[in-house]
Amino acid sequence: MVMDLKRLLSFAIAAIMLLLCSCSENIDNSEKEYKKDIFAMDTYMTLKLYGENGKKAATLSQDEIMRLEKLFSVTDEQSDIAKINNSSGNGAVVSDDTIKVATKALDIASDTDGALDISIYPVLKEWGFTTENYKVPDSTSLSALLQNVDYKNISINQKENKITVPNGYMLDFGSVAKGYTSDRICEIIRENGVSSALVNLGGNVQAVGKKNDGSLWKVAIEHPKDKSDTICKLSIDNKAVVTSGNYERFFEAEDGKKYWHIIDPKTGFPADNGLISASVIGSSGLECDALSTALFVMGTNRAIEFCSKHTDIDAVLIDKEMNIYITDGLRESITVSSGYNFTFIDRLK
Amino acid sequence: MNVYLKKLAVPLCITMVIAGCIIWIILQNLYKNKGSIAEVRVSGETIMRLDLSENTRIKLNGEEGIDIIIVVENGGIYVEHSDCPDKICEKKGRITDTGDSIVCLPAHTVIEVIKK
Repeated sequence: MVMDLKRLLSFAIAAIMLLLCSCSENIDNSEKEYKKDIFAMDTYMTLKLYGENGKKAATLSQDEIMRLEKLFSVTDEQSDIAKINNSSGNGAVVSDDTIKVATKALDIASDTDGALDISIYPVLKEWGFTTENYKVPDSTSLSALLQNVDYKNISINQKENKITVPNGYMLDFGSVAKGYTSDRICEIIRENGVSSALVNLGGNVQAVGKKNDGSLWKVAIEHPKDKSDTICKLSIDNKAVVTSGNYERFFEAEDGKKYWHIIDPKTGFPADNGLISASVIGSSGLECDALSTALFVMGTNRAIEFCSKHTDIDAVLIDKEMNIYITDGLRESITVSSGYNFTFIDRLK
Repeated sequence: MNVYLKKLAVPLCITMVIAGCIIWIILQNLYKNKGSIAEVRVSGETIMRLDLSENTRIKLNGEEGIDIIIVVENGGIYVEHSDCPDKICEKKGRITDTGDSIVCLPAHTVIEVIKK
C-alpha cells in the first residue's frame, strides 16, 4: 500500500513538473530567434532563423531575393524574362538560374499535360491581373491570345544558356519564381550553419531542419472560404508547403461572378475544374510551387489521379463541396481540424 | 499512520494536480500578457512599439507616400484607415494575440503583436 502511495505521489509530482516545463518552454525558446521582413516579388516575405549566424544568413537571403527578383521580373526591362520576351523570336542568353527554373517548369508542364504553362502571361495580362485593371475578355480576344500560349514552343539551349520563344510569346515565372527563391534561400541558410529556420514567401512556406526546441514545424492550411479558420495542420521538417487557391487574387465582375488569377491554359478562363485549393508538400520549393498551380488547374479527378501516381510528393486537395483529399504519405504528419470530411489517397509505394 | 495516509493519498494527489494546473494557467496568462505590445515596421525597420494597454491613435507614413492611421484600443490594435488601394490591412480588423500581424503590402508596413 505504501508502494501505491509512493506511485501516486510520484505521478502527481511528475504531472506538475511536466505542466511547468511546458510553460517554461514557451517562455524561453524565442531568445535566439532572428526575424526579417522583406517586401519583394509583389508579396510579403518573412524569414525566421535560429542560432548565431541567423542575422548574417538573413541578410544574404535578402540579397539573393533581390537578385532573383531582378532576373525574373516581367516588367523590369533588364530582367532575363524581359530579354526573352523582347527578343522578337531570336532568343536571349540568360543566367543559370533562369535556365534551371525554365527547364524544371517545362518538365512539369510536360508531366501535367500543360496544366502548368509559363507562357500564359498574355492571357493573364488581358484579364488585368498584372495591372489590377480587371476585365472579362471576350472569347475572340482570348482565342487570339491563346495562339501565343504553348509551353511546347519554348526551346532551351543548355549549352549556350539561351531561351527562345516564338515572336508574340511572353514568359512569366509567377507560378515558379517564389518556389525557386525559397529553395535558394534554404541553401544559403544551411551554407551559413543555420540548422533551424522557417521561410515564408507570401504563403510559400519552407522549413530548414526542425524548430530550435527539436520539435517539428507546424504549418497550417487555411480554409479557402474563411481565412480565420484552418483546415489542417502539417508537422514538417526540411519540407516545403505551397498552396494555390481561388481565394488569393480575384475580382468580382459586373456579371456578379468571381474570377481568379489561376488561368487554365486550355480555355484562357480561370481554372474551374472542381478544386478551390491545392497544397503540395515536398522537398523542393520549386516543384511544390509549380505543382500546386498545375493540380489546381487539373481539377479534382485529374489531380487525384496525378497524386496517386507520384509518390515523391504529397498533397492536400479541397474541392468546392469542401471534400478534402489527402495523400497517404501525410497520415502521420497531418491533423485535420474537427468537423471536416477527408479521404486519404492510397498509393502504391 | 498508514491507514490515515491511505485515506488521504487520492485526495492529496488530486489536490496537487489541481494546484499544478492552477499554477500553469496563471503562468500561461502571465506569459500571454507579456505579448501586449505591437511592433510597427516599415520596410523591415522597427519604427515604433506600442503598448496595447494604452489607448492611442497614430498616423504613420508608409512607403510610396501611403499614410496609415493605427488605433490601439482595449488591448488590441487595428488599421483605421490606409491610403493603399486594396485596403486589405483595414479589412484585417483588430488583432490581440502574440504572433498576429497586419500587413499593408503597398506601404511595406507590418504591425505585429510581440512579446514584451
